[in-house]
Amino acid sequence: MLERRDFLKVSAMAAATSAAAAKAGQEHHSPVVAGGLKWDKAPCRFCGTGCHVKVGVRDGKVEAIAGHEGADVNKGLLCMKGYHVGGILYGEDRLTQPQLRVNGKLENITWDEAINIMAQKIYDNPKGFANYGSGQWTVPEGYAAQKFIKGGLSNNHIDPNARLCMASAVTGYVSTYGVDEPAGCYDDLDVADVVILWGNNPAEMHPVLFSRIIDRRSRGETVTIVDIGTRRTRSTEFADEFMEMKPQGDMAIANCISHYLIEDGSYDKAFVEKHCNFRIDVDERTRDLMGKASSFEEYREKLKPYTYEYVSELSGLSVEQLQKLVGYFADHQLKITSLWCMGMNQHTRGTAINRLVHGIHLLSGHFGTPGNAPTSLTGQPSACGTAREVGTLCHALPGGRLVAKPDDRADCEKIWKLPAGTVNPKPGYHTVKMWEKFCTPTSEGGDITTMFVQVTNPGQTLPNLAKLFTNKEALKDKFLIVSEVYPTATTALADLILPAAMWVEKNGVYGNSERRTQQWFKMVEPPGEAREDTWMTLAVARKLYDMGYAGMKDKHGDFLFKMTDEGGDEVAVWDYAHYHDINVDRVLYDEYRDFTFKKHKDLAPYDVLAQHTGLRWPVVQGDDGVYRETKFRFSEFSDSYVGKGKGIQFYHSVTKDDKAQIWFCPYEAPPEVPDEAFPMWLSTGRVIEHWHSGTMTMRVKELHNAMPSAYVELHPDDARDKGIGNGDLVKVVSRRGEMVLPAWVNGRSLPPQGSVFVPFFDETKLINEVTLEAFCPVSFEPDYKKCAVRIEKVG
Amino acid sequence: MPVNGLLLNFARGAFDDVEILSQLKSIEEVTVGELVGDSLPVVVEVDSPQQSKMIHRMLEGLDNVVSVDVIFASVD
Repeated sequence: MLERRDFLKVSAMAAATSAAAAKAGQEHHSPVVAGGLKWDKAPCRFCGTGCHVKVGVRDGKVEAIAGHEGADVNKGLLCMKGYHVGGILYGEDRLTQPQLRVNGKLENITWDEAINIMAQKIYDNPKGFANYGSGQWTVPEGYAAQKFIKGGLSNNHIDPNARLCMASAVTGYVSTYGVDEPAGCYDDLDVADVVILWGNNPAEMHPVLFSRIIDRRSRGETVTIVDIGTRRTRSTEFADEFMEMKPQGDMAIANCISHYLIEDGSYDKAFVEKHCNFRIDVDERTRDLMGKASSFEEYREKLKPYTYEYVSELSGLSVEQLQKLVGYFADHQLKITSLWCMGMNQHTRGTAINRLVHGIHLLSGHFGTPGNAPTSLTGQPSACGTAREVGTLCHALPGGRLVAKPDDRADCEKIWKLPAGTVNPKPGYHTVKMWEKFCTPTSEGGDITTMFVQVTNPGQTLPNLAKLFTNKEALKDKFLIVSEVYPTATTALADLILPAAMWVEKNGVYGNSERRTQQWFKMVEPPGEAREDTWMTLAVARKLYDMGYAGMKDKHGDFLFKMTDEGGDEVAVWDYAHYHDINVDRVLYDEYRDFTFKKHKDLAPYDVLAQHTGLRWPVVQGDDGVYRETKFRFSEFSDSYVGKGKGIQFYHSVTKDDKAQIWFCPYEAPPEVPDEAFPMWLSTGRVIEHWHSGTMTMRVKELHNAMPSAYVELHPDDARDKGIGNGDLVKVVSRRGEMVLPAWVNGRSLPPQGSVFVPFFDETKLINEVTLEAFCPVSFEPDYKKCAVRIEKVG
Repeated sequence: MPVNGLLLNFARGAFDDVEILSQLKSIEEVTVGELVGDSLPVVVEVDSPQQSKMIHRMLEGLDNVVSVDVIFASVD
């Protein structure tokens, strides 16, 4: 029995707490203290799905993670990596001190010394400096790096690791729609009748998104999943149809579908006439981004060789399977979403196959309404938001601009307050070229002498590692600077190591696969002397300014990165003691936001973004003052930039007539195919337990124990023929190198006979010593999915 | 003897739980709830309305407190 006074006190507290909760709800988000933990929101650190998590902090340490139930993307669900994302901060060997390699040994130095060394290297040879960045850069980090090198140094040798994963998606989108990024969004997965997987394995690589499809079945909905792939994976287990394809067969399959849509008369004639033009390559040998105009008749003619019989031979699919695919696209009542990732992007004709799949959707009219979408998923948390949208590619500028376009350069010079002519019009080196130049002697044309690597691990992830990375070791005049959180294959050759803050140890903004920009605030301190990557860029820039480097001054004589407080006084953000006096992220984001309107990639204001679990751009302010996101681009019912009555409008059309481009691209064989010496195909990729090179996940005990080391997966008949049993050591040999791995037979995936699969997460088994550096001639993205190897039992 | 439920509203992100909580917990008449967003619910139990006003003014004067809302007031 409660005494009256106690009842009043309980009631008073309940009322006040309810009022606090209601007040917090008026803004969409605020941190909450509950159960002794302070909870705040952040996007997950891992993949391009962009799940939102709640991070619980106690006594300055992340102690708990939960899925954010209010997040549209994941609705409270996380995958096994997501539930352990907090653990990535606490590996025992976290880097905490700047280190310089002296006579082969790493010695601790101060930050002042590190920044001085870096600045001097750049000052001595600014044209020989290159910055290798990342789709894990936050938006402000990538923007600061971009402004520093392209604005401050007039140097375009900046490229992100997204060149290795998404560049073909970019060139595919740009050459089809005139602008990057998907038209659709994850909402397509909630209503599609048919989901076609083009060489990807979302059950393992984008598990929360895949769950979104599979969960529909548990609610009684019918969703047909067609898995077109070069091996059976966990995704295959959920597929209604598995269509086993020969490597590179996707190009022939796509052309076959388009051919019969026309020949059978089942293409969407009205859609094509109203919304599409046709394009082809300039000539038989030239492969570039824009090609030349073509016609429907020429397109139809060029498709004629792609008969069922011919394509069955090229692709390995049966005639019946090809007919089934045609049948899906011929049915205008079906809602069809095509999904792809590295199978189509890491491809020596990656741009071409991206164009072809976009083309099938346009030709058949499966576009522009919910459930009808061709969508490339991304692997990294901000390959879209940072690498692509901020324009950290060697040919790009922020907001979809290009270094080659005078108007685009002028826009940058205006916003950056730089003299006209500052931004270099010549594209810099793309990733493979950049590393090739860095790993070539200076006397032999290796004109990149200083390389700054941020938030990525090229020593493990570049193809043909001996040529593109390990060669550096012998070149004593080359200087490698690496910003990292843990020791990696990259830091193993670094001359200067900078300890970095990661994830919720800093403020950040990421952009996921569906154009959703997501913001978070710093929640815990980084360990030791670890500092933000943005600060590193500002500090080096200021050091160069102090040394008198002209490029670090804007045209008014101010520091290129001048930032002021609310009173208008400059804040010494390059001095770490003052870096947190203001929100540097906000300053950089607000400046970058000005770039986003030209190509209708409008971002929300920072404070608006901070209140949401992400917003999909373009985010447009209505007459009522409310900012609203755009789910489906180019469609009038959803995209406020589409003109009234237009229905669908490709307002950045390369032909300036609001039309998209349907491309013809011929099938072309891969550059290296199995032969007598190397009779098997090698494909590489990921596993669900680990993210990319395993730098973070291998240090989480639960994830490490679930998948402690890499393996080579092969067909049981191949294993039997070679006398290989489960767990036996096998040497995988290519023309470039070799790697010994344990065999896994009847494991989680099933490569076909003549094919093997190796995941690349294990730093003790660098399979990229074996892979091929051949790349798409348009996107410059390498092909990690097909090269020729032989396997030999060891011992 | 009034029992009041109040909401202390802090400047965004300015709540310093160590400092503020120490101060509040040292006041016998005040019971502290759990922070929600930038607002901290407290209950004040005093002997008289005059004392209630004094405590209210004192709470308004705390560092980084932007305002104090009265959510619940008992009626004797």
